[in-house]
Amino acid sequence: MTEILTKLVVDCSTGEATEVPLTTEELAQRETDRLAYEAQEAERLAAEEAKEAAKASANAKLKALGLTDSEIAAITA
Amino acid sequence: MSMTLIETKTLASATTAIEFTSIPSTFTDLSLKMLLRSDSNTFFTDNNNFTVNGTTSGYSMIGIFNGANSFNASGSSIKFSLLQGAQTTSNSFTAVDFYIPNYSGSTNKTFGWQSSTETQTTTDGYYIMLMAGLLTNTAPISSIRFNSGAGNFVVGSTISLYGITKGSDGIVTTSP
Repeated sequence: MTEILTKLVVDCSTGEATEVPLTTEELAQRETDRLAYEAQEAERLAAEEAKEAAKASANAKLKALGLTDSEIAAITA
Repeated sequence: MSMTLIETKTLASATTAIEFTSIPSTFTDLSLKMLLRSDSNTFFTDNNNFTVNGTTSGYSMIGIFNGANSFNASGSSIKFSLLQGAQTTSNSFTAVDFYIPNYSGSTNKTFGWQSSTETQTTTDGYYIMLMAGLLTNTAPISSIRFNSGAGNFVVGSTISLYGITKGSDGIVTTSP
């Protein structure tokens, strides 16, 4: 059975609270929000991975120049 | 400054969104205090969001996560919490403290809020988020809606809306 998604609407002028099913538009917006979130997350993770890769590459180059791990940490911290 | 409870609700059944409508324009600022939890089968969900007046464009936000990691986003809504999910300790909630200054004014709307998990354990994780948001829309705020994103807000989740009035006795005062 498909779950019926609902929202609780609280009318501040009357204090009345009503639970109603999401409309077609609200369901579409929820899907739009989900896709936007996934795209943002993918972008964030890709940026983090690129940053880590650049960091590893920079460390390797510094080591190739003869710097020790503690010396690298001292100039990159 | 005085604080007046406008409405408070504790969920008797799970729901995916909570919306306050017909918010009176008589206060200076608004404040919301929330204890929320998602039934999503994970430790945390962070694709939740809020909107005001049904507006789905013009939002942006910046935040700090656990005091170290900063983030920013913009789009059709704003994330409001790293929300505890079904895999965290039972009956524990994420606390969100939310403030909206000059909500009924005719300038762009700003928001400030913090979110922290109730169970600060190595299993559940230690999380706190500090955030600020902007909506480039000058319409007075008459409704605000919080969406769970993934899953539903569980039974027992509580949300309270307060009106804030400047001045210790409810009267706006200024210093010379």
